[in-house]
Amino acid sequence: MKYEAVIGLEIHSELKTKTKIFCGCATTFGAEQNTHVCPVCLGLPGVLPTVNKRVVEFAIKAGLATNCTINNYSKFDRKNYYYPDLPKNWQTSQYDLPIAEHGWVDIDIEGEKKRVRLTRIHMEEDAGKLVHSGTNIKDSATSNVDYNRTGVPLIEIVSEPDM
Amino acid sequence: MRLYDKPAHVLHDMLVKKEITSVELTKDVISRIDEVEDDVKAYLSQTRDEALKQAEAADARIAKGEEISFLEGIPGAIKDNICTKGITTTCASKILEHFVPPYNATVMEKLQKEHPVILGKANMDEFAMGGSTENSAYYPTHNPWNTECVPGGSSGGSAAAVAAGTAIWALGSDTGGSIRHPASFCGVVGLKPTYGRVSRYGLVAYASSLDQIGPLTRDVTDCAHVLNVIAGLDEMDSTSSAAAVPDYTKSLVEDVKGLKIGLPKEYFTEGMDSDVEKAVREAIGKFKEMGAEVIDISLPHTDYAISTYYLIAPAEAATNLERYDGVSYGERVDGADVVELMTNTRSAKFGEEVKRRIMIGNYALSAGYYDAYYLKALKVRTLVQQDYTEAFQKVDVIMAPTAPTPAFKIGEMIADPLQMYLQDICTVPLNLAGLPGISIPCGYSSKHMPIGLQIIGKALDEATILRAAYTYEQSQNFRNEMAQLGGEN
Repeated sequence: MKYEAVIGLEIHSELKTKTKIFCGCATTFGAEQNTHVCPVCLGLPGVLPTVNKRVVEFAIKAGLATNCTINNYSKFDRKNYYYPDLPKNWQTSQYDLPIAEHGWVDIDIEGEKKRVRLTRIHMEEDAGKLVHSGTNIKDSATSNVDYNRTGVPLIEIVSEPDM
Repeated sequence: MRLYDKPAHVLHDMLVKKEITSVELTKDVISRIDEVEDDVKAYLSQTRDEALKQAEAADARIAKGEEISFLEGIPGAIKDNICTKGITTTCASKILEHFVPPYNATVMEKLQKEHPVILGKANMDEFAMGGSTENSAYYPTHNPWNTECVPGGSSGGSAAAVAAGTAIWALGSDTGGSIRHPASFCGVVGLKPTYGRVSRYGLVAYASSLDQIGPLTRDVTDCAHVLNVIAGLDEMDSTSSAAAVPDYTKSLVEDVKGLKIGLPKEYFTEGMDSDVEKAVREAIGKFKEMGAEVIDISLPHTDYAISTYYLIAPAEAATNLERYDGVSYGERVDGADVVELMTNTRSAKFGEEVKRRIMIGNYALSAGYYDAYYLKALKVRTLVQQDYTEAFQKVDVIMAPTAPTPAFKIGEMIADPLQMYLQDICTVPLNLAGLPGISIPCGYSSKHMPIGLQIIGKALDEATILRAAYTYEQSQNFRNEMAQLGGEN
């Protein structure tokens, strides 16, 4: 039997904004643990998100650069799951009405042009970082959470299985 | 001199005229707490030392001849689901038993610019889920008018404190009636502003599309003043309204001539409590006497409002309460692994009603049921909103009872959650529509328990409902009648 590889990719890309997607904390990498945090990205009781305009602009730019349709009406949704690196136990993401859809990227393979279609591009927040005393959460006596990364803005780029 | 029974505006004048000091006033309210708090239990925590310091600071400013704000030096209570920096905020739950927020809710930041005296955090139903304050994980609050009765909920502590004289003013929150209902049961004034009028930043979320913070006070004058302080756009709350905040004290005029009052027939049902009906109808009669016009209207989807609320609110609560997992703040009950840790913590530390609503919410949102329950509820919510939009083309305000009954006895309804949910029948439609509503005292039951009149307004029209409320209030004497409690009264 002959098998043909059919590949689609979901790529998460950090947006290079100064501050996080829903609060004013810095996004710079490598800071001392739990120093780029505030009540909002820590998900403390009572906090609310405020959208970073630059995040939306960058996401739109990514959509335009890849020939996407930019949706005039787009919303954030909660992706609910429990994990200790996710302070609210939901990730604010986009579900059915993403910011950009139906784009493509043309690539060159040995002189031939190939089109890789993009299903969608949407915005979401990153989660924190777990550091385990063992190799993973199950075999560790303790795990530590660094919340510096929670709320760092991401775009998720989803391609069709065109590769 | 007895000061705890006076409203803030009277006390403010006395402070300005230097007839009393804030320390005197604060000590009087504190001794009132010592006198009756064991019977009322309105507070979950008290901040007396800090309160006296705040009072001293207020007196220093007054002595220097500085102009003082309305609330300056006047003691109040804050519902325990509003984050107060450095002061425990438990939401009356065991899961936040020792939680001290490192930040202030926006309303607290706004309040603190006025230099009030904060006496403590008021009791409530756990996470604002309830209509009687019996769902507090700590203890129930007792109605000052009859301590065998509930104060209503979920802002029962706030309402009871104002009614008992253990706070001159208070802040509460309202998601399905939680300011108006206890105001009605305790014979005080309670206002739920238009959704978005007051910032929710720092209000521990129950149902994000329904929650609002509002004042509970002795009279409408105080209510307007407190609303002035807390209302307004907040950049930390994207759902807060950019609409300009009028000076609500300008609504404190006695004039209802030509005011068109809608009476929704769905709120005056056959089985309704006869004492409530009598008091409310008499109040409507008074409005007519004073020149208002009463028009019968229909809000046809009223019957569906409770079901709609009890799908939307639990659905939103189910996700809002996911964060309480024992990992980074709040109480923790350990386990063999992180899943056990989270499960053990939530199982041990959430009360029954909270668990009930989380389960209802998750059920309504789950695959296979989402369309039939949650999505359907969202559609009915639009219909409820449309009922009001249509009605407000014909009338200026809508009036109805606040609660279907006067205060019931502690323990009477708690065994039947569905019965308890029906307490919200007159109040939830407003939250679904995002409209403002005020409850003011309008009479007593045959057992001398307070009955509240609810005045509902157009979006962002707190001014009209305050004017209507003020006019009626001034024609009656309820604001000067206090619960008979403790030795002196």
